[in-house]
Amino acid sequence: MPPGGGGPMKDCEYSQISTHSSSPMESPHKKKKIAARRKWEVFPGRNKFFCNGRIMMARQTGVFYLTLILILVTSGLFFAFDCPYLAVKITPAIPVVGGILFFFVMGTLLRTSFSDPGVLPRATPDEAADLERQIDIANGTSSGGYRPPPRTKEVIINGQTVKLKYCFTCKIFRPPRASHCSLCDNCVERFDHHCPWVGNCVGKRNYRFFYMFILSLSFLTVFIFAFVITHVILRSQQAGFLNALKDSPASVLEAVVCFFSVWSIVGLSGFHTYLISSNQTTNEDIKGSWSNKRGKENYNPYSYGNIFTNCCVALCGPISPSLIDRRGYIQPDTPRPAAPSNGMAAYGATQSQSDTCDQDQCIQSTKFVLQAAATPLLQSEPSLASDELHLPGKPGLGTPCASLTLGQPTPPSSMPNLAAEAALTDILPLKEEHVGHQFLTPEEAPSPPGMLAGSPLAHSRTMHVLGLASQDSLHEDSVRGLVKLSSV
Amino acid sequence: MATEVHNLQELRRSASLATKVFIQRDYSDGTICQFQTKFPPELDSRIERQLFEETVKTLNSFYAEAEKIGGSSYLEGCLACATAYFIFLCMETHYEKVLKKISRYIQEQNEKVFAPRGLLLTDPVERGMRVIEISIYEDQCSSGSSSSGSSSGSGSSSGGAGGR
Repeated sequence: MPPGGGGPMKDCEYSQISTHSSSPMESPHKKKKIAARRKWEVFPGRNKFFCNGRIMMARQTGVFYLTLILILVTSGLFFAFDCPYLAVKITPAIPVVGGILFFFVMGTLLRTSFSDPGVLPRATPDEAADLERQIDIANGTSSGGYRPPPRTKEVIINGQTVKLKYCFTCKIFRPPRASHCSLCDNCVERFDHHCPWVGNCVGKRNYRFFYMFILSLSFLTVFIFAFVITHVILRSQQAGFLNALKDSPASVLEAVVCFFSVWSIVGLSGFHTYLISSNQTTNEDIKGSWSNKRGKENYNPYSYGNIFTNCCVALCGPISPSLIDRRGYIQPDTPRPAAPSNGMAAYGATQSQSDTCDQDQCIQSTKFVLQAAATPLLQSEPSLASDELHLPGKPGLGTPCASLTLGQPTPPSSMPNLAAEAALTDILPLKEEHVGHQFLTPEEAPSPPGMLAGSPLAHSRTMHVLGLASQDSLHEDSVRGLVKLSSV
Repeated sequence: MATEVHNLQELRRSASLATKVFIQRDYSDGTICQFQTKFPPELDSRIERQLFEETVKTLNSFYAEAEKIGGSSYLEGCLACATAYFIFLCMETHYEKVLKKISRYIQEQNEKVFAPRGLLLTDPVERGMRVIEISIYEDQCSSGSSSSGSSSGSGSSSGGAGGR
């Protein structure tokens, strides 16, 4: 080797390449078997699934178990202690009718609690990108706006103007009558309310089951109450009142439970009968969307005109199948658009990974959050104001269950590493606390909606609540989050 | 240049996806399932307006049939209620039957009408009944120049197949 050429070569030092790699390819036996997963396992909402996706409930099911226990225990005591006496003394038809009612109540309760209320699946990244693009086109320029573009569409239905709101979490324009349940974090079609007693939302697909449940439960409660009283009276005619109570202590418990339940359940049934006959949802009724107070021209565009048709449609109309396909298998990624040939495909579709698409959506959403953060409260959207619950004008009897009709857009829960979410989650536990508190006493008048209305989780409002001082740190964190996202 | 008629499998194998067009829901008649028949400009060079509108109108009529409220739907509802809804365990609802008809129709349309034009319809049920997703494919083997498939001369191959 010539010395000149050897000079640079002497400077090179070859480092030994490590042959011990820590890659997972070491042991061929540990081949990862990717089992085909079902869609419910990756469902983005806050739901619980059982029986391999067949059963779907909300996350908090404690109150549902209470409902179940109350019904089972009361009915059980009735059949065990009161029915033998009554079957002999009066007629054996009593336990039979009671039994039929009981099975109907349990059947409809389980149907309501376990079925999909009509959850709308979230938009695919392509859809979301397309919508964003259309919104940007509709609003002119997307950057440098002082306020977030009003994400509403107006539609005329049967002569009434209805505003369709954009859901930031699900990235869709909500169909009319749909609403986003903040507890389950899903958009639900024809959203009525979230019922903690059945542990699920009540929406298009399970409203009739819910109505049948409360109706049959009213009959069952009245039935048990009446016959328990009859039982005690008959016994006290024989042996005196106190002895009668001593002989059947279960009757006292049943009477107490039934007495307190009758008011709320029967009231609720009456309220929902009214809603069905006028084809409204609890959500619409509480907000007064179609009431005459808003104006003489205001009427319900969904009503069929007469009570009979409205009832038939609500109770006997066709049931649409579940849109979320819980038990389907997750398909491999569909082919992404290749190189963008025109501007239209440029939106987050330049790479073949769905992750990047999601990140682009995250960045877009972040942009809007930052813009919202910069917006003074005065410029908050009027459409958000209509989301706020008007304090219920009609108090309590009929609406113990109607306390959770918040239909406000939740902040996007799919944004990792953004302090916006962190800041908002500070508020979330506070809200959950209020919500948790009101579950326990359904008989009380629903004052909590007023409380909750004071702290809605709308974007601009939240930023205001955080205060100017924390907005700087919020901004900083969001920027940091953006940097993290873009560096991947 | 010989125009190639693509079949569905060939399309999925050899073509690359250029863009997707979304036909949104039409809520002017309430909450019933209906899609807008407005012709999207992206499909202008790909398919005749009339064929497209016919497809969407047929789909709308299928959905109207599924959601029709009348004697038979009431009967089904009452029967279901009387059996405490257990009948749904063994019988499929009218709506589900119509949805099966719809997916067969879409499959047929894809094979006969859309795939030869480099388009693919996705069943709205797979998109939560929100949109009809139409995927527009760029054929890689037709242009023969670049493998990226982003050739601007894409209109030449599929436009000829349209036979305007």
